[in-house]
Amino acid sequence: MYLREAHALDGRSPLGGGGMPIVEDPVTLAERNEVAKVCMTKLALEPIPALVDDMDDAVGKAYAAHPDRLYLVGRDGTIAWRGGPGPMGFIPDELDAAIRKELGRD
Amino acid sequence: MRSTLMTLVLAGVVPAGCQSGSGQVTLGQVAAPMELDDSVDSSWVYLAKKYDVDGDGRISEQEYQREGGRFDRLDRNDDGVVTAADFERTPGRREGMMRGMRAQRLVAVYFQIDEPGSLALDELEQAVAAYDDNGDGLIGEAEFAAHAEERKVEPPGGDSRMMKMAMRDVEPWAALVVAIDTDQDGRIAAVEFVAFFKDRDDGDLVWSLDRSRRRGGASSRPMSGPSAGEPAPDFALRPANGGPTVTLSSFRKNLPVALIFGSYT
Repeated sequence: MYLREAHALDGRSPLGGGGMPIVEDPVTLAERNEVAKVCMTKLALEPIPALVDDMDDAVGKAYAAHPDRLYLVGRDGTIAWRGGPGPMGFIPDELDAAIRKELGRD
Repeated sequence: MRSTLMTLVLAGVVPAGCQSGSGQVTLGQVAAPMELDDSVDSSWVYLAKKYDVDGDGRISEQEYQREGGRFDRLDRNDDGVVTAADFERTPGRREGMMRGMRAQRLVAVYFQIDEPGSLALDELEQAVAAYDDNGDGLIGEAEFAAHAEERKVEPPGGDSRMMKMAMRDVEPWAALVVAIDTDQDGRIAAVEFVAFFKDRDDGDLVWSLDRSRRRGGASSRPMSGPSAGEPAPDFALRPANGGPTVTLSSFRKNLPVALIFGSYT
């Protein structure tokens, strides 16, 4: 799920250059889609299809997911596991464990 | 996008032995360190190439043409134009960034305030009260020293290289006073945390703080995200490449869904 850029060059917490990609904060959904595609390619994430949050950031806000976060939704449509807020709480191994538990493959 | 459903439901395909190239990914791949070959370009070179139409080494507001305060944020030295000088990596700027990272980490470690859901003022007051032996609503140096070890919780996940650099030889109390103690009385109050987070906010936190003021004891769920057992907020969004809309609830009763939120930077 591609969200609003965390460290856009023209954003409030800019980072860029010196090892970080330089990205301008998308102002339209079309621009956001383009950045999302570059992100998926450059980070070699293409096998995962990227959904793109709308410009009102509604989904990111509903999940308190900005700048990054992990969740697992169970078959019953409820939250099976909620990761901590990123970047410190973004821990893929925890999601891995949650998935195994959900599937009964501990 | 045909593979959308399969890969959104990557839950089932994670166990060991999963091969890349088969259309499936492991979480190890998702977590792979960033290696970006396009990152050598400096911010100024990038902007000049795109916006300095007349090639005079300055980007005027007319040349930039993107709204929403973006020009002002790029014009970091407030001289009315965007130039290379706005992107010089001065020691002061670097130290400012390090100071910010340090403060964020120390607040998380000693007060466990690292998620928007904790930003209700009453919760900040509780965080202060845990140190406040004399009940004056403030944390002094001796009170911090008396409780720091018992209150200390290292956030999981380890530190990035940058964070390790920022945290090297840090004296926690002195660094916290620099970051939080805005009235410079040598003590830390709950309201000073509010100012600290507002200063660092990039959009979401003000919203959280506003909600916390209105909520009057109601659930803080909108700030911290839905917890385990609560219904997952439904959504219908399209993939970046314009494929059909994907609705979260369409997976119900079939397979678990892993949601991975993030951005490029």
